[in-house]
Amino acid sequence: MNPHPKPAHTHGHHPPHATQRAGRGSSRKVTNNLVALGSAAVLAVYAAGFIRTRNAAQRFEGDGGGRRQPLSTKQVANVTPTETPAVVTPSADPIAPPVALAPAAEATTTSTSAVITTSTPTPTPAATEPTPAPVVVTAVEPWVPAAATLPVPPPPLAAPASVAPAAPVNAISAAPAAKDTAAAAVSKPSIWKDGKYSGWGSCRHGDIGATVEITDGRIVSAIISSCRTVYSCDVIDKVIPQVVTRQSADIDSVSGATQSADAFFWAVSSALDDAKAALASTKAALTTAK
Amino acid sequence: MGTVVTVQVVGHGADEAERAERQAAIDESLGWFRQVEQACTRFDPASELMRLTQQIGHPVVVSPLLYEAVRFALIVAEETGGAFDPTVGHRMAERGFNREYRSGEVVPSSLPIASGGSFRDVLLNPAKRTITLRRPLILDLGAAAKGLAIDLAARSLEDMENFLIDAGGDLYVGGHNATGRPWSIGIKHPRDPGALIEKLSVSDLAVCTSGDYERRTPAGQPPGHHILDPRDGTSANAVASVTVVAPSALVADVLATAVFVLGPVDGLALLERHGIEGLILTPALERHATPGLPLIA
Repeated sequence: MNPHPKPAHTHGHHPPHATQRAGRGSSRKVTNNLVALGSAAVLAVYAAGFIRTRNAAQRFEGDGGGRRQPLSTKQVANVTPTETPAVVTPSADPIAPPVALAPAAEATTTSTSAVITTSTPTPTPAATEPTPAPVVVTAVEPWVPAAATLPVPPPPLAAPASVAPAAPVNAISAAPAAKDTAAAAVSKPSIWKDGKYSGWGSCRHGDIGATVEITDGRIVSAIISSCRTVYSCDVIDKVIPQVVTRQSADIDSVSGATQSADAFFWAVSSALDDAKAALASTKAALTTAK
Repeated sequence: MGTVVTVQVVGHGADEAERAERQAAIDESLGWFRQVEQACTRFDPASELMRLTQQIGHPVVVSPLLYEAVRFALIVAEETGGAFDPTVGHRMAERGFNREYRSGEVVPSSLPIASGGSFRDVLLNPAKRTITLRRPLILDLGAAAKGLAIDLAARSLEDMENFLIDAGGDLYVGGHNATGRPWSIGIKHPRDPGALIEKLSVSDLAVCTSGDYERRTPAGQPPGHHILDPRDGTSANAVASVTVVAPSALVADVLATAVFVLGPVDGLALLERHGIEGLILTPALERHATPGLPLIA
């Protein structure tokens, strides 16, 4: 089927000429290998989906267990590309102006175009392109700057859109009486500092931003503040309240939307990590003051 | 991006299931362009990039996509001593490149135009994935964003093996064409519209070109084109077109712009330092090529 089997995708691999040049000497030491850095950038964005690989991702479709194995951006960025020769050989093909083409031959090509414009929220699709699912921001939240990783005073009246009502100050359990309510959390000292925290999670289909609000040491709301996945984030609506009821990022997987659920899991985890770090630094500051 | 994106996948399987698989991969790959657009465009006030530019002086948590695009742009800015600089956005707006050129709509900026800013006013914190702008700046991530989108799309098409992604003349080609040979790519003649000046044979590589013929300054502005030297705000004029061939479109696209500004001598030196192939054509059509450029004789 494939007369020219190629090695694994060569993103991040030095072309053969690059290798050949290594010993040729240079007027200046290369401190930044741009090829490797560029590949690391692409990997970092594609990370969650790509590193787990298609096979693994398909395996996770059923059980959703994959996300419990964290893979940070930093880890991915440190992946060292292996050297694989790229196939660059002279061609006898007729040249295809103006840019490139696949000469008509025994194989068929599937070709799809899309006009990506900045003037409209969604690209104007060509006739052959199915309309992609619109990106829907599930809960509209003002842009949350990094400063939000520091405690934000509780809003005077209504909290921003949230999946659970803000807990009364003295409430024993802020969460609705659900069977998976984290009752144990009541007696535990809080591990989070009060405030609003944001985080991002990635998956093969894009990024999801989450904002978590902590009041009296408990999660009182968790929302999707930014949905940047290829598919609508509506598909994971049902599991979002579980962050509040379980007082944890550990939501259920969603059949058919494991990638998005994973990205939300990581976004909430990242926000809660910040909340935890904020509490630790506050305690440290108090200790120092004493 | 204001760009027509075309994806071709070479497929031998004619049954419906295989066709559907190819189409699904194409759809996924095109989805990346939309994601990158939403994050990185300076032509949409609601984009993540433009919302970032409204937060001056403190760190902003950004998506991995925006962070990596900015990070790579800053690396190249440092490497080129500012000949490539993503903070050139305000200079481009000053020169009239504030118009989304497909719709023709002018994108107003609510920001006071900052003069004297540079890439050194953009600070990154990799641990928190934050970006801090130390002063009002407009970032232009055009080359980095398009290149990143092409690379991400290529990732999505990886299982297809043999494919071509064409985003307005910037390409990534995977595997071979429909005849089973490497893809043949023509390089446009910078002074003869419709003619090709060179031909390349490539596989699993990105080919990106920057030319002074692509976008001219609008009426009322000094004559020039859209590739500005960030250091003085004028159109770079030592080069007519630069084509870069690299394993990644992010690298190829950003370096095509950087080399264009650096000019033939420093530009070629930059490519050679990093083991990247390229062809530089001057306005007089003098050629400066790296020795390993995969030209078709």
